[in-house]
Amino acid sequence: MADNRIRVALTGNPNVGKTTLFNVITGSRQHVGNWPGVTVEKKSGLKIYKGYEIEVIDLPGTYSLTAYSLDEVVARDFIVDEKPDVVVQIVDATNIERNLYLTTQLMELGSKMIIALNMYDLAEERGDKLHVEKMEKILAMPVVRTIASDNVGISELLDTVIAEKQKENHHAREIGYGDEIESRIIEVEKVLSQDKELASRYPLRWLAVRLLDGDENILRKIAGSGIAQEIKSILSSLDIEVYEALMADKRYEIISAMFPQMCERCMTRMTTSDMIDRVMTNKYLGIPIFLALMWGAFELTFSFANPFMTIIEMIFIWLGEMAAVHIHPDWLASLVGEGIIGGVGSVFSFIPNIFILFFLLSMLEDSGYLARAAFIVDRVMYKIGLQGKSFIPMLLGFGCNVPAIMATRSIEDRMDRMATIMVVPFISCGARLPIYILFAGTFFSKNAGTVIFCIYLLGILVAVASAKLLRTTTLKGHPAPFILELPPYRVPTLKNSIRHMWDNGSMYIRKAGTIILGGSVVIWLLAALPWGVEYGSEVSFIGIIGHAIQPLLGPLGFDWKISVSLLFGFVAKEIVVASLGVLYGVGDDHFALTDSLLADPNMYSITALSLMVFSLLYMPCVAVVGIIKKETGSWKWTAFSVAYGLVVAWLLAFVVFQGGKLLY
Amino acid sequence: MEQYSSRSKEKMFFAFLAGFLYLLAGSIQFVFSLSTMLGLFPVISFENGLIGIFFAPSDLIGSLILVLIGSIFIYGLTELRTGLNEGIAYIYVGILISLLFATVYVLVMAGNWMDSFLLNGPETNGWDLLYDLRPAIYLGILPLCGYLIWRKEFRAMNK
Ligand SMILES: Nc1nc2c(ncn2[C@@H]2O[C@H](COP(=O)(O)OP(=O)(O)OP(=O)(O)O)[C@@H](O)[C@H]2O)c(=O)[nH]1
Ligand SMILES: [Mg+2]
Repeated sequence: MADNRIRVALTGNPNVGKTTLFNVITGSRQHVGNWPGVTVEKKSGLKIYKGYEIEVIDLPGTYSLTAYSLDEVVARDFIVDEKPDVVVQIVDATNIERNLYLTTQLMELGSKMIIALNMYDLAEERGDKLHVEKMEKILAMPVVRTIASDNVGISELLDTVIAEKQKENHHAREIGYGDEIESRIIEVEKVLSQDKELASRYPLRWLAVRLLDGDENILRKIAGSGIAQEIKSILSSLDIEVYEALMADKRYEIISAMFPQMCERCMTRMTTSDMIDRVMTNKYLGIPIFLALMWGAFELTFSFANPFMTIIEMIFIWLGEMAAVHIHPDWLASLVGEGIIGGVGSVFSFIPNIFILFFLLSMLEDSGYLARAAFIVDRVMYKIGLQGKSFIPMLLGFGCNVPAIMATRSIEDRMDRMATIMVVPFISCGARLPIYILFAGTFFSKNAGTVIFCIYLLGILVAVASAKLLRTTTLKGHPAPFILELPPYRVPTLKNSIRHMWDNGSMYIRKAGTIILGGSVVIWLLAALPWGVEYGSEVSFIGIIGHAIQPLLGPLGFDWKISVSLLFGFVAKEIVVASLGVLYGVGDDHFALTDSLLADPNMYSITALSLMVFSLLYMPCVAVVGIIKKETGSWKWTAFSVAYGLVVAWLLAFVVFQGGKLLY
Repeated sequence: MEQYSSRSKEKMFFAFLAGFLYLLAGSIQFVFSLSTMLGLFPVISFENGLIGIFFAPSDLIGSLILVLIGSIFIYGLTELRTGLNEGIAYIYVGILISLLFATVYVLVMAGNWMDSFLLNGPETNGWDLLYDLRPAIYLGILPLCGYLIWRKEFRAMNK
């Protein structure tokens, strides 16, 4: 029955809790983060409630219906074109005044609207007095209090959605813009009404207001219509910029008239958040604090995870021994012992590190600190020619580069966006961590945490320097100024951090069980064939491939085993570690991979460093290449990105290895 | 925010003490770790001597972090002295960060201990308490006291 289906769109300013609300309603697990611009695509989910099939659509955050960036266009177009049955605007209860701007614009659309006053807990904690009934009256729409993160007020919200859907007549409050503008609106409306098709799709008053507001997207929407010419001539006779400013003024005026009636004591004041920000974004202390916190995270990632790693290693060594003793024939024992246990086991042993790193990053993100990091770095970045907004995708890149590249959709400026897509692959993702832990742990023991921290830092530096290079050459142009609304500090919740850690960690485990497992078997086959050769010797297939590419990588200090591992690392970076595990025959001589590496006369700390630098910088994996193609829509840029990464990786690893050799 | 000014003397003293101790420990550790790295004073063995115990010398970054924490406290002190009550924020953040790093080092210590326990059995010969007991841990007692004393007040800043 069509009557039982309700389509509800969740909209609102960035970082007000739309996705959190979406997740609790539909039971999904979309990414939630304490900074603006987390969601860049619309996501829909279904909820069966009291016999109704409620389709909920989570939209990217937007400050107004005048869309600038790709994600804002997604949000706007959905509400305007797809006409959901009910629009729920999530309003941050601690920031109502600013959120009302979007409300005034949504009201004009004339759809059925509900306000979810979210983060009610924070407003109450602050001691704000909110008059919800007054608010309902003034705005002429239902207002529901919610605390999305604690699952409070959700059923009330859904009840209200159903009630709103069933309401026959619906009256929306209009905003008066004053005589002069109103007469223009009527004039434009009249012309628009000649196009019946247009009139049936959009509220005409709204279209007229948007057009007078200088909205380019709307101009494009009516371009195909017969009345487009007439509209254009009316608009060109007016000074649109003046109108735009006048209309915005009017909206603000109305908001400032409404707001004091809705809320007492909600004046802006210096909050703890502001006070802490004075320190965190201090001109001199900001960057050192950022570096110190990141260093602490890596130190813990390495040192605290160590015992857990040791346990997992012990289990896999034991399994390898079992395989060698109990499995017949020999080739099968070798496949299981060296191939599967050696390969997958070596990747599995880094699970504790991955989990701890993501737990810590999620705490930093959730507390609101990482958004400050973007702000601090922005001061530097702006001078460099990259928008600070680019830093947010980069932060996401520490987890996985694929969603990071997708997140660039929130960057308005095309040049900025392309430059950011090109440099995100230099940000070290979770898949690269095992390589550093293996080599830093083996060759730098006590200083491993610091070495890993430096590698991560190098990734950021190369990314920023490359951005500078691109912005002054092919992608010339001024960076758009960056206004990042700093999210408030919050005490990170254990639940959120654990969920975040699990999401990233389980992805890693899943990969280990699929791609890495497959990769390990392939590498074992290549090492064992042609039939009858000594396993993993230079005459095996893998030896032949290794020797073929080794001359290219020799100047970086890599022997054929490492070269071939790096080659397979194209598929996924974890495979570098897995194939070393296979090739060094972990299961065979009862040694941990670290011991085998230490025993190899070709491997010493300089080689390890050079290898880490190379792994950091060369193309992350096929999935990233795929997403770069998809987001840039250009093979040329995709090829450039791969080639550029390889060249930079080779050059820097060369400098590290040759330079290191000179010093020692 | 007037209610804070009456108690700001205490905080100024606290900021001075904490800032001084962290800066002192940090700079001594910095000088010694640098000289150990560059091999400047090979006669004195920092790894084992008294200084080695108090200022585990091979921790260059750790020493910089101590200096950073000390600077945050001192910065807060100067702001409090000029009558800016926001200086309290520096003390608050200073306490927060020093406790964070104390926790980091305690966890690192726990990790090292467990690891050597797993590898060497209960004798734990590979593990050296004195090596892992970094200044950030025992200096952390002071900010911990500060936190306990002013806990309520910091929370009240929300209102
Ligand atoms: N205290 C409190 N925190 C909340 C509440 N709802 C959401 N949050 C937190 O607010 C932050 C932002 O939540 P998101 O759901 O990612 O916000 P969003 O509106 O989807 O943000 P964008 O996708 O960037 O537009 C997260 O850190 C949430 O944990 C709430 O009711 N109370
Ligand atoms: Mg979202």
